Amino acid sequence: MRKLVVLFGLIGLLAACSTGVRAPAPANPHGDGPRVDAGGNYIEGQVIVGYAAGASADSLAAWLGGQVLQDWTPVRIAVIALPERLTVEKAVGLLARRPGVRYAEPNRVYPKVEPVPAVNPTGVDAMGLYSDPDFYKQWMHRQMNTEAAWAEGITGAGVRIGIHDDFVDHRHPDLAGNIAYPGFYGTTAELICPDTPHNGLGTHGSSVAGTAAGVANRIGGRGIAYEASIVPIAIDHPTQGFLTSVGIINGALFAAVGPEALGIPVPEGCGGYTPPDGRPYVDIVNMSWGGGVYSQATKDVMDFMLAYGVVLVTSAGNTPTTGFAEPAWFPGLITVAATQANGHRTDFSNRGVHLDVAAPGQNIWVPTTRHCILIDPTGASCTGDEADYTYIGGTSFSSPATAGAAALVLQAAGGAGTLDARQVRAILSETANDANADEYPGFDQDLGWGIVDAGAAVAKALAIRAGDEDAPAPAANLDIYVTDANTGTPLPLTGAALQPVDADDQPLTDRPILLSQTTGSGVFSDAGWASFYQIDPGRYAVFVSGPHWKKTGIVPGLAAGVITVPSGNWQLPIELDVQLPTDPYEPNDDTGSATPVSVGTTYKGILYADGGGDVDYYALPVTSGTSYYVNSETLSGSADLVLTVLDSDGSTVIAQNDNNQDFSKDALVTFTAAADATYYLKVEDGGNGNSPFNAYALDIATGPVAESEPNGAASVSGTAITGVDLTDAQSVALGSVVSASLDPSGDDDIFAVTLTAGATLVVDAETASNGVPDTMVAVYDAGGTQLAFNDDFTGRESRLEFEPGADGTYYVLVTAWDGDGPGGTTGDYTLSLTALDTP
Amino acid sequence: MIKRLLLGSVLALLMAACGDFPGGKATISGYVVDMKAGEPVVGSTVTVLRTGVSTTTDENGFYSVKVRPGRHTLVFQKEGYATSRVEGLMTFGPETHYSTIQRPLFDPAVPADPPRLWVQLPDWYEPGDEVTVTVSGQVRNAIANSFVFLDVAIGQQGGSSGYLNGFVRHERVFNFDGSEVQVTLSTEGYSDVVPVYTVAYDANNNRTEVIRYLYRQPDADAAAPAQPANLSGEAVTFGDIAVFGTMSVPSITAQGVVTALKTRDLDTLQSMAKELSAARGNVGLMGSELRKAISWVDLSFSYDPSAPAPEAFEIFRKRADEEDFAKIARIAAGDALQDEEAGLYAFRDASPGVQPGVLLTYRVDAVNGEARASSDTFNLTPLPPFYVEALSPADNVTGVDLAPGYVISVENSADVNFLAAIVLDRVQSDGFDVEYFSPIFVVPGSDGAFHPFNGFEGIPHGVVEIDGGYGLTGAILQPFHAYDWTPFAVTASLNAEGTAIEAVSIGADFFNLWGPFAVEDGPFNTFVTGAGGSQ
Repeated sequence: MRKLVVLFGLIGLLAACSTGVRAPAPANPHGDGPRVDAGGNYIEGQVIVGYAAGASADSLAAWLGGQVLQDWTPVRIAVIALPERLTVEKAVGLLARRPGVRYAEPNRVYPKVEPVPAVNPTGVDAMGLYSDPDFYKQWMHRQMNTEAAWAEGITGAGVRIGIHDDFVDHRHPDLAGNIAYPGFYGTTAELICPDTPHNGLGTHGSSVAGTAAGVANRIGGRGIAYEASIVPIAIDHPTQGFLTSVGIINGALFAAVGPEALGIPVPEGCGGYTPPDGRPYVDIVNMSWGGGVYSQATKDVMDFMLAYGVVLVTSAGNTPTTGFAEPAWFPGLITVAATQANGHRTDFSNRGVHLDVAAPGQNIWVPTTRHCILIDPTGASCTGDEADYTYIGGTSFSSPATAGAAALVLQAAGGAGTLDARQVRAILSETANDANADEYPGFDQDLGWGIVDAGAAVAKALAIRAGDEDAPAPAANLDIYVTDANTGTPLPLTGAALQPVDADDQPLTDRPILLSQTTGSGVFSDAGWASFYQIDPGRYAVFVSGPHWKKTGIVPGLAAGVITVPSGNWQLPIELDVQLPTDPYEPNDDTGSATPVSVGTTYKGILYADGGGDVDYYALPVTSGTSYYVNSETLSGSADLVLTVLDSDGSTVIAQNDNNQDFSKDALVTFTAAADATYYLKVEDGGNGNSPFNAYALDIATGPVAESEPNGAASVSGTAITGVDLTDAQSVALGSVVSASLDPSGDDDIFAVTLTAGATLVVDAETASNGVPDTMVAVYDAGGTQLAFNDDFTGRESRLEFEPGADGTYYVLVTAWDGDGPGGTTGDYTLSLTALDTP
Repeated sequence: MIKRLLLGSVLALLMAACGDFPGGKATISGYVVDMKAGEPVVGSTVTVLRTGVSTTTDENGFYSVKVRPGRHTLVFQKEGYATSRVEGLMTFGPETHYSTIQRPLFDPAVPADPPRLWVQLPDWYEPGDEVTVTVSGQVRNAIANSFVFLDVAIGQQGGSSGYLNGFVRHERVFNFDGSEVQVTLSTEGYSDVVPVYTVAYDANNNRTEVIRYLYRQPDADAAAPAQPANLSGEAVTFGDIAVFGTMSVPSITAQGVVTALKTRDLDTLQSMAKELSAARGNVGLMGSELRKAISWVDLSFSYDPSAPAPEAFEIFRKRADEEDFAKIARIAAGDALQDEEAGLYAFRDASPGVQPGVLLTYRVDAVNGEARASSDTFNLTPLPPFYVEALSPADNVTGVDLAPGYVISVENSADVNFLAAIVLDRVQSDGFDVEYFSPIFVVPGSDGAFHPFNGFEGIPHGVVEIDGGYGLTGAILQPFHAYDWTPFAVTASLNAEGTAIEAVSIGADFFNLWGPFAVEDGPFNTFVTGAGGSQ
């Protein structure tokens, strides 16, 4: 900006001389030059005007009675000489209210701003002149030293960044030039092509994309890697806007392998890209989202992308907390905290040993989804001139700023594929600006290794490319394969932890312990694999424990040791001595050996056989005209349960169900018996899984019985249930299913059932949609004491088992989570009350 | 009406005539804090423009200047801080109180010049009228700056926080960019001189406030109101500043919060946490000292439900180091109403001057036209921040005992501490399982001392029930498995009789057991168990 002032000042001097306009001047130490006001702040007799598109500097000057000294049309800024007696202050006041004026300012003389040493040693002086008029609102460039990278000709060109986020406004004028089609809408599994309408909801993704790679042009600002390609990968729900697991998973697959490998043809006019051999479809994926719970499905897709060579960059989270966040904590990712302009962490930025680096994340000025698109996603209301921007904050923007820096590093190193993800992470960490070194030298839990310095990172990458420096060691990729020592069965639900240690096996306490769990069957790989991809090579203490004690009910096997993992791909087989669960009703693989069962009972089986294809048959005597309800519920594992009811001939299908809900892979059938006979219930895995951990429960009940209101009441807040009133509880026979609903808001349903000591009651509430209602179930004694409770068992529906100590009447309460509060839900449900079989 | 108008004009003229008010000098004083419900800004230079008068704020953020009566512009400046500026502040008597917020400067490379604001609104109004305020503005250093927020409030200053401004009648404009905006506010419940506060912030945290006044002759015939009764309150010191930005969820009503606080109902809770985390999430939107005091006071009082409600209530407050009560707010009765049948009212004082360790005395006046009735006074002292560290199991360690004792240290204990340990199985296996939730221990406070849970060297796990709410089964931890744990830690001071909680300071409360919001920046330690002994 100071260069601009000097330039216009000189022109002002020339103009003043040539027109002979001279204002009465006080003593001017600068002689016949532009006069500076007594405060030393601005040049007298001139004003700088930023004018809007369609306005004219000449007409503004004429209106003031002055004249245009300089009109810089690409950015619509003009310097106007004022007539005598019109002071700068007055002119600024007049102009500021004038239509067509974006801003009006004195022609300032900027004081030299001392650079803030901890933030950026090259400071403000490094600023050149940029075409983007909002460039100086983007302090992130200053803090990340991106201009030094650009000065080397490194702009991110040739590098593809997948924005794994909500729907990007891909035709926004400050993004459109960098969009590389096709993108992908993960939730609907459709391509994003140039004419694909926006979904009308996403605004976050537009700002994330703009931070990483907003276009350098004459509008707005620009991104860190302003010539990188943006591949939009939308993962939000088309009408509700929240992020979906389907979107996350499909989006990740697309990022790794692209449309053709997924069997989606790319139509004419939708761009197209064939990755070079061995390269993924996008080079970098930015994930500015996260949750607070480990999810194996998310871990699997992260590993899938890493295995394909994608560099993954993610936001640390905005809680703030030192606690778990995914995918931020998954091994192999670049995790980024957020900074303010003064170089400190923001108030909201997550902290901890899992941080890698930090980048600007507050008051970030970037594109946002155009308002005309939010009104009409097809773009029909847009005139083409709109380009909306916003200030925005969050580690969501620190992440794409770093993804942009990663793109710069890759280009400098010779292109995507010349460095692996671990090497990119190492370069960014090693060259980061340790801005809080005076308080916390080196790694710290606020900023990780420091604030990303794109200039220094690019310089290092260029030196590596030129052979002047060695690249950091390539990644170590470790797969731990856990099996049962006795049978060789791969073990799911087994945790593996890697703790970095030194040469003496002492823990390196400021490096994070890496955590993973073995895969279940059938999703991305076979069961039993715990992966640690793109980790630092080195020495680790390993701890293996599983299968998960509480989830499988078996005693876990344990293993521990110290390993050295060099760069490269490694497998570590681990055998654990465990007692695998067995199905007590086997063999029951055909109608001939079907397990005899009776109505009103729950049976627990396992779909597992040597060689696979286990099918379990149960023989149920039925009475003509009676209605039956058979529910199969996953207890552990990942079977896609399919339930079939067969006639006594063993082959005529009376009823069949694969999924009775969109949020589970369980099955449920209801049928009315046409005769007194023996029907067969067949349970199998529609996903062809095969694991001793694929356990299910089979509830067999009669009914439904209609609910009768009133049937009890309680006060429910969150998971807390108080003031239970058992009056009018509806008596229901054990073995029945009740058709009921929680309605209106605040409804509670209590059912009285007679139980026998030692016979475990199974209570199961089924809803068609997840959380509609969000049920809770509990068991009370006659005195109103709670004896058992469950909130969420499968999705948000509930299930529990309760073993009564004595014969008597017990009360089963069904209510909604936070039923009497603002989070309460209503809706229909069925409730089955059965006795657990003891085989 | 004409008579009122004339009176209004004369009064306005009288007040606008700078320097001609009989009696000489007027005093303007108040407090400067660094954010809503924040801490004092010490050593800020306060300048009254065009008078040559200036002073600096003391260690309580307090300033006081003597000026000619009339309308004034004050500017607050400090190295490293943005500039706050207020225009149109009128002295209506010998003492005028004005407090403000002065934020740290966001970007040291951009000068701290406050923006310009132009505000238009009528001077007078009829009872219950709506007034339309027209605002436009311009930031300084526009090449590197923009507006980020505009607020227009009537009766008392507002701000961006939904929760802390829960009792303010205001409208927030988050996309203000300087171009003209119109805001309409109701004048229901107001009379006499009512200030309208228009505040805008730019991206560098510079703050410009324009105060204008609405005037309506108070009703001289209004019936005398009843005396407000049962004035009580609770001071809250809150251990998490991240939640009080613009992501506060305004739909959470004050009533539920106040009720929960008053009845000490620990069972009432996580509903707000779920709603809040849905609103905030981790996706987007969303000097960073963790050791900061955010403090406010929640007041409640009753007013005879069988009597007609007064026009408004005026809240008066006096700090121990002040001589007189000062009016800190006027709130329409309808805006303070919590329970019509019971005649319960509430008000949240998040204004500057609420400060840990400083005794505050409150009084509430019911105002009806020119008549008023005062409540008895009530006093309390806000607590300092309650600092808690999770010592053992430590963070990022292995080899932890299978039945560890959970040890924390605390600082700034008051009369009684509420402590618990919450252990989760969520970092290495699917889902969010609460592995163990200790009982909530209520222990006497003592400063700086170690607080292992009494009698629990190695905590036995089992079924536990908390206030009859819910029970969780915890088994011995699985060997070689990763868990994480966080403490719940709240300290409270009791009233003189020991019958009620007077002030509370929330150190760590990730799951929002106490309310109103979760304190999520407390410690969370992730650890891996060892092999254990024989199983």
